[in-house]
Amino acid sequence: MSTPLGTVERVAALHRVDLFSDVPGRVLAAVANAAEEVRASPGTVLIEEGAIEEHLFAIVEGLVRVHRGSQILAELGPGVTVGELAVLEPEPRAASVTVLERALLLRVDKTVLDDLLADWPELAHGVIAALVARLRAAADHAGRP
Amino acid sequence: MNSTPTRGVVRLLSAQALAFGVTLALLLIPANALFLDAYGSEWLPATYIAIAIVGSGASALIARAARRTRLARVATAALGSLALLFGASWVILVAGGVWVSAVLLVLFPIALQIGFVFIGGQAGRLLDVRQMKELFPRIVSGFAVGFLLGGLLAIPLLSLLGSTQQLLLATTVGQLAFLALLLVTERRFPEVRGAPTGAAPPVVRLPLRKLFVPGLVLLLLGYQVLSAMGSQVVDFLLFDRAAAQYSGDDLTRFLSTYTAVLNLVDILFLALLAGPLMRRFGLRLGLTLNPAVVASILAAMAVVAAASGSAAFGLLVLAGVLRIADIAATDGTTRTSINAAYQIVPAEERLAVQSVVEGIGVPVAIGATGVLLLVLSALDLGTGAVIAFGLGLGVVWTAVAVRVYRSYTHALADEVRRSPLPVIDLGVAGSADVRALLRSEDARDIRLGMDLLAGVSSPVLEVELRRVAAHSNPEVRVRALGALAESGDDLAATEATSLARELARSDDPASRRAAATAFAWRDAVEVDRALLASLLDDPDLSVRAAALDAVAPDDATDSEIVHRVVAAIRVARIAGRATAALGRLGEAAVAPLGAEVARGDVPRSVSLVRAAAAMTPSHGVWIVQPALDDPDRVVVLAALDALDAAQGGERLEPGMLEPILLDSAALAERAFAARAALTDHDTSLVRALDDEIDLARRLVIAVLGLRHGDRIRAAMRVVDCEEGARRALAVEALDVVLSRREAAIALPLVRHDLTPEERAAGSQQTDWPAHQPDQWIADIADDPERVWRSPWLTACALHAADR
Repeated sequence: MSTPLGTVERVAALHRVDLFSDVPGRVLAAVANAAEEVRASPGTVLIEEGAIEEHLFAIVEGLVRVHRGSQILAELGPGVTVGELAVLEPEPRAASVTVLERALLLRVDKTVLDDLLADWPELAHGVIAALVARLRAAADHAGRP
Repeated sequence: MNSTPTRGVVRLLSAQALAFGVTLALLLIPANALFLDAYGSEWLPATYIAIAIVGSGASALIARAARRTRLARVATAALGSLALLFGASWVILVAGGVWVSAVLLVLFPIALQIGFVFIGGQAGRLLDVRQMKELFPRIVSGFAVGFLLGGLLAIPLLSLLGSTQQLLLATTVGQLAFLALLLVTERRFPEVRGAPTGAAPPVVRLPLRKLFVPGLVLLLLGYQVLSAMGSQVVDFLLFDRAAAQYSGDDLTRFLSTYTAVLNLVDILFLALLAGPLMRRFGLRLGLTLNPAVVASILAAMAVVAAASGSAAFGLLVLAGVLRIADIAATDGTTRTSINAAYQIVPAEERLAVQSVVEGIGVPVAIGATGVLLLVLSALDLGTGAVIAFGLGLGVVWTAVAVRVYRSYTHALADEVRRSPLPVIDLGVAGSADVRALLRSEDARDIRLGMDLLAGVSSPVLEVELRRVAAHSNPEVRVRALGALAESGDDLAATEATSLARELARSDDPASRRAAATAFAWRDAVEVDRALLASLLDDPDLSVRAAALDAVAPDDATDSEIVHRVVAAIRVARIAGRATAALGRLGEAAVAPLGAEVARGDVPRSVSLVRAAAAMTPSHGVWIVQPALDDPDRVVVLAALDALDAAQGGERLEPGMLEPILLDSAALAERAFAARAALTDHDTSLVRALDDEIDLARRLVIAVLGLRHGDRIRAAMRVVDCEEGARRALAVEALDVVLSRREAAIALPLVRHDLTPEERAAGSQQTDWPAHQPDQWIADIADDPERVWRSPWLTACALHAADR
């Protein structure tokens, strides 16, 4: 059985994620403490398409696949979040996420982020930046400027 | 611009200044000699008046051309025309037309001003404001060397060419060399040609008189006029006293020796002192040194003249010192400062303004001085009157210098603060769109439609609201009834009150939220305060948020409501609404809120501090004062930022922020030192130190923002985020607005371009208790001096120690 991550290691892992990279450690410590550590083996379904959930996963180790049925949308590794839109506005999940290689993830719930967003503009900035990056990527994908 | 092109720019501009100096020396010597030989010194003031008339016309011509065409083209035309004039004068002089020496004397100050306009104009386009301050004295020193060289060359050239008239040939060659160097500069650095017309946005061409509407430009005009008049009086006093003490060959020997000493001192001042002085004291000194020194020496001359009479040798000594000081200060600090101050004027208008100020203002000042000297001479008032006039002029000039500096600091900060963001008109939703929303199946669309209806009424929309008032969703229903009640429907008001009270007791959070929303319509719905208080205690945060929105000024009499609102401040997600509710409760909320902030048994939350700061402008700084003394710097920062946002900084006493500034500076210095020692160590600890440095930086910015206003925040933001000339302008703005001590603390924190060595050089403390990485880790973990005061930093240090 693996040793659970300490708060400092969790914060270090979250700092490697774009969404949280600009957030000071002292703020992120609260997120890290409230996050749930998830260790998943290959084949585990982390997110089911259509499910209404209110949490995101930050990938610390391993590799996951984002897919709609058999259609592969992306394969993501450490330093990336999946399902971050759900913590802002819960809607049915747009795609499924399945573990490809043994993965260590941190699950962060909407309520944790909501409390922190109210007090910490740094976190809001990180979320906005991640959303903008997502929009840009979508626009690029659609061939628009 | 990186250092290599900067060096190239300085070399080429210095070479231009050198050629320019040689040319003017070779113009001044034959022009003076030939004129004095032919007409005598009593006609010199008449040439001043001619300078005023001709200089004004020539400069207006150049300014107009500069506004219509590029700098290099105007400079080529002007410098080429002068070369032609010098060549033609040589031909006329050789043919016996000595009258042209008067023309050359008139041309001298005009050529001097015009040459510096072009050299300054090129420097303004190729160097930013801070480079200007540091490097322009070096460029100007090229002129001083050239002038000295020209003077030294005059004697051998005279022997070589055979007569004074022939020196004009050398003058023409020097002028052509100046022109050639200017063209080389243009070829090597095309930026001097100005913004490319194809890519640049269209520039609004203001009438020339409108260019002078800004106060700073008018003050600069006044400053330079006074400077020119002062220098002219200084010149006159020297020649007047020299003529009184010496005559014939003795006078020539004195003037030759004096000119050599003057140029040597000027060069030494430019090379050794001007740059460091400007870097150390900036424009504050650059603008005031010259007039203050001139006024002081003239005051000493007035004392000597009063005590010993105007024939005293000491007066000649003082006049000599005065002229050396005036010229050295003009070349070393005044000219640099004026050119730096002009960086505030938009680049496309800068040359036009500068040409008019220096090319018309200065010649007119020289002409006015000529008239005045003629009048004083006609009245036979003597040298004492000239000294007294000069002294008065010096005092006024000093006062104007102080005003220019103040105006410059404000204009600089305004320029940095100016935001390029466009104004966006969001527009208003049309009634057809609102109707579509109200007819939607989705309750959220209907809520949005009703939100858009605020303040809008029409019979068509009223029909839609009556339909929505029968909706199955209670929240939608009560909102529709409330909207109808607000428009004067009494029946709807009764129904809304009844429905809201029923919903407030519901088990469904959405229904309770709808009730809370309805309680906000005080004109239409009768509120049960006990129900409102219970909604303020609701376990569902969305219900509490709606209940907080419903709190009205009338509720201030209900202590249950007031205390619940104060308690809600500590809950981050509803703190913003609670703060707004506190504002509506007014005076009644102040005491409970102050007591909550003053509590020492519970950590102060950021939201509580923000709420307290928001009350500061109307109820005093005592409410937030305990938070400013909080050991947690994050709480202090929240208090400062909230005070700034609430414009509560005016209520602070001057000394209140000083401990925060010192504490932040101490944290930053220690964190920088620890960071340098731990660079290759534990990444979490290094990151935590970086966060502490950032926290210290934000605290310093917050303190300075409260002390000096928005412009400081804007300047810091530009320093932090932008590059090039705009960044240099912002650093300059910080330099001039902040005190030296504040700047010493703030600049190392906001300037990311500093190397660790440069930061260490500015450090106040070097004898740290810890030097090795392990010692630093122990220092952070134990925090014996209570400098770090960060649980997170301690956690990282302990983690690093474990590893």
